[in-house]
Amino acid sequence: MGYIGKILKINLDDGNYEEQKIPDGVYRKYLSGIGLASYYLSREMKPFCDPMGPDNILGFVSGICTGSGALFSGRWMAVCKSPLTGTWGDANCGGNFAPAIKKCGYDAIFITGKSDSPVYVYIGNHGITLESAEKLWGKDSVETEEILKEKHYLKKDPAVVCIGKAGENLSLISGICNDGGRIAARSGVGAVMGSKNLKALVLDGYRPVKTFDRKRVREHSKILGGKIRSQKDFMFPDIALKVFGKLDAKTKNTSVMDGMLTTSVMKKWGTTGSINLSLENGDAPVKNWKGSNRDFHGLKSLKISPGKIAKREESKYHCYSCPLGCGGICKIDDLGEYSRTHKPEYETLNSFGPLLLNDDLDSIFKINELLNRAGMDTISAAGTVAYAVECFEKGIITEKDMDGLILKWGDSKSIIELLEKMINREGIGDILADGSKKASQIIGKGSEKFAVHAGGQELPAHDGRHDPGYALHYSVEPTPGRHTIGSYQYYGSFQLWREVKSLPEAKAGTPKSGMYVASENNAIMSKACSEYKMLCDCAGLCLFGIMMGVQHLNTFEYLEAATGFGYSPQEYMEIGHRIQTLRQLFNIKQGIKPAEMIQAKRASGDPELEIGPNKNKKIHIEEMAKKYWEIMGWDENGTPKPETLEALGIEDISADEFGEEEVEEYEL
Amino acid sequence: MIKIKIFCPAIFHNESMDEYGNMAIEDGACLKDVLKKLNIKWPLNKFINYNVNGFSAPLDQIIKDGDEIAVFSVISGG
Repeated sequence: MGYIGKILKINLDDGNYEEQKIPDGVYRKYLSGIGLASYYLSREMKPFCDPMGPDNILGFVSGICTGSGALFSGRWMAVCKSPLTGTWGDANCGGNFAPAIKKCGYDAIFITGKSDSPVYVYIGNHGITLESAEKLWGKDSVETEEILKEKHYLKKDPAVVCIGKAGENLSLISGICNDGGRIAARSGVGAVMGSKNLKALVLDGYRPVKTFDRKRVREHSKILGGKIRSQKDFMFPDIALKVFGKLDAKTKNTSVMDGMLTTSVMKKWGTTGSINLSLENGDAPVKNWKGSNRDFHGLKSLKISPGKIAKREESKYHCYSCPLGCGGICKIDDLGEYSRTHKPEYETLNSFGPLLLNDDLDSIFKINELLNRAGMDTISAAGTVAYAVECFEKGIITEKDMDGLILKWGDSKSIIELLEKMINREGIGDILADGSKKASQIIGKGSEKFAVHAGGQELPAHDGRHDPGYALHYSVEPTPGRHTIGSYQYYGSFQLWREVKSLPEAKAGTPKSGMYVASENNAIMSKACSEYKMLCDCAGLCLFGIMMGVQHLNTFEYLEAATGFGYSPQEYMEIGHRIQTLRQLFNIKQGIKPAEMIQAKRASGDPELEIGPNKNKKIHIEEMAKKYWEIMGWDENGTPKPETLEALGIEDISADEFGEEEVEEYEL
Repeated sequence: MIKIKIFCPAIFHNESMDEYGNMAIEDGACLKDVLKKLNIKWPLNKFINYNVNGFSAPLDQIIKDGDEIAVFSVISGG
């Protein structure tokens, strides 16, 4: 239960589709969401598949708790082989698309092949059609969504995901957009969609979603919702978090906090609420990871503070089933066509703010909307621009290379001009549109050290020198450069030891220096984060919900109520281990060498910073990665050991271990 | 004495709690007394966010054995 038991497979080569029933055994072993995707892609993806070729499989998956009444269960994911990293690729997004997949009668939609001309797929209760997207090609994601919603409006708006110009132009840092400014941004999933000449999916189903014990789900949601509603407003001004960040940087010890209290900050400011805290305690990378808060001091940081952003907020934005509403719709009169826009997230704010020493808040709003409409990942785009600025600073690229554009730290005008070149693949933008690693391989001249990435994906705005758990997960996740899986802060927030008795309780008040050691205990905590996040991505849950901790949002309770599988939390964590290992195995079969996915040296403190909260902080990332692999049951090269595969029951995923799958074929 | 558990940032840690946040406090103590042990006094206790077992609570709420008290948590992420 909790799942539909059926997937849709569309082949754009011949325009046919198949509905395939998935045996219960698959769900019992992999749940749904990313678990179902890891099972399906591992079975069906050819080794050494060209990620931009027709054989790559692009999947859209929904969570097993989505539609059950579980709060925070509105996340959907795009999955594929990433053209940016060559690894397992996925991108996670909110909005209203997740329930729409299940309402169409599927747990997942997998697309292969390539259409001869631009198309979009329409899926409704009365059928599935391929429609021409010739007139949509070239339009931005907001325009595309509006046109398709108007055209296919019945009793309500259909749910739409689409690519913008970046995806059409096969930028390897492009994503897939929905809800007028939400984006499944990472792994280059937009480029894969563009490579298939697929502009959009329009979902308009009305089928009910079954849940094993809806009453049990609702009871848990009622208590959780009550706690969230009871939190008092956050009374401090945003500058207080700056002071708190400075104090935090000076403390020598770790903290374990209760994520429920963070809801008041999230309600007030959304993810931008932590920008000043992060800048002062060393969590926020500055000046392409070589600077510190001294380069982006008080007067600058206050120009982009959450209070200033909140002043522009016209209304709150909630994803499906979210009681928090950390998003916002902002109105900015002097931004012309972009006057109504989604509030930038923390990642975008820091990446186009301190990372580039840019304190022009208007420009960050404009960039946010520009990239959301183009469907380009703000994290990777900013990392790539930062790489280009540093190359320009060092004379590696010149004004001539830039067609007259002069790049400078903090110059918002030139940043926007360069982004437009990247979106349109004009001049040097053609090289930069594929991210900093690929650009550095073309530009050369020692510029490789300015490209701050893991496995080809630009690093997000959480500095591992502040919390080495981030650095580890950037380096060892089967999707490298991912900040939403684990860190020592996350482990303290998740509080998994309450439900999984074998896990160590996080200690407060112990020296922070312990976080930098490649110890077994640290690796166990990181393994638990990986496993737990896999479960949450099976469930369709939001990171900001699970960060409250299992004492409030109990993922195991939601999973049990939705599925009725009768598993213990420990057994669910083993499913997480299975999925994480299967994704790693996917990488190995695609020829990936995990040791080459380790994050850029600069991000590990090589060379060490001489000033700021991360002064002299160095991460021994290779040792930490090896310890993580060991605890995961993978060998010293990061390859899952045969005995681990056997214990997890994934010795040979291509074998049909669940009996006959029923397939019905149709012509579009 | 009753035993309670505290979740708070390191800047509030002191000798009143152990490394797992366990704190012993007099039976009949209220939330205000707990904050006082963490050196959070007026006017800070009027503005700072806190809760008891996940629910917001008034400063005069009597604390029971086994209660979990969270004080001013700001977690960055996303």
